[in-house]
Amino acid sequence: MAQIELPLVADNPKDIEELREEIGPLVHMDLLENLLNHARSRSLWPLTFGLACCAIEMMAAGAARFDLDRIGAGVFRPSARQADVMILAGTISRKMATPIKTLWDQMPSPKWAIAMGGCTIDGGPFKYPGQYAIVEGADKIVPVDVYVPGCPPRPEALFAALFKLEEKIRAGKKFNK
Amino acid sequence: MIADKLSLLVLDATEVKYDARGFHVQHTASPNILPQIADAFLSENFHLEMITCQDRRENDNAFRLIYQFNQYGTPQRHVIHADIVPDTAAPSIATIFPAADWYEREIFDMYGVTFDGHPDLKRILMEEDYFGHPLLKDFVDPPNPYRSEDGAS
Repeated sequence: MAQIELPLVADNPKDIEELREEIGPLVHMDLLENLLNHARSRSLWPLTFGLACCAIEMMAAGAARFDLDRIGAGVFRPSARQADVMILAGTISRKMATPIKTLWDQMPSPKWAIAMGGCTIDGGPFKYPGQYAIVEGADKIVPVDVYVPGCPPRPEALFAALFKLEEKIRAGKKFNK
Repeated sequence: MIADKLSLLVLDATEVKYDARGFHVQHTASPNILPQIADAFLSENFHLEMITCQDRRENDNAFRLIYQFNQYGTPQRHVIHADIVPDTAAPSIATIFPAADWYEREIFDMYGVTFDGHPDLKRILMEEDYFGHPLLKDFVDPPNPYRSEDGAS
């Protein structure tokens, strides 16, 4: 760690910023950050809400036969303030876009979004010339981390998406800041 | 009997083949007497099955409101057609058949037809600050952030 001679820079706060860039952060948090990311990836808490038929598969994934609890992602939170992951399961109608944006803003960072099914990828079967009712893709309203194709995807596909998301979190990428 | 009560109210009643059309009697009525018609059906223990609308401005300069009534027991489905002039209000039957409440809101939302005497006439399917009425024949949805820009829609 470099010694900073304070009298040299005290007059001009801009110099402090430049100096900080040169020497890097005074304390390195990498190990702690890795540990936190590991913990986060093993206890993803999804928000309890389903938009359409994909939600039925999401419920099946949470129930006994597939059991999301096995990977620590079965704690569906009834409040956005306690949730990490938003699983967008189903067609997003335009009237629902505003509440979803509100819920996303209510979730504390770090937070992630999974777009489940064809409708949330690009509108799916409801996308045609002149349609007025749906949002053509979840990425129009929230930043999506993992896309799950299928109509609807099997529970195994949702598991695969959660594993991908875990990988992404453990890789320590900075997103949704 | 419902036929006797209706004969005083409607302009025209035609018995149709149920197998071909899916209902038994078709009536044409003036929109002003829709509440009386609804009262007549209610007094004979009919229920409201649905209300819908057609945009016929191009040919007839009218919106056609279509009401369907049916009863338990002997099936007897009646269809009422009532044409209203664009930009005039139709009388609401929501106070007679509460089931009409959301149907009328839907017609208001999709076609812009207003209903006099409706308890809470506001949009039901589109967001409340939506600008137009999507099921009108001349409706065009302008570019908006919820649509893709790839030309597929």
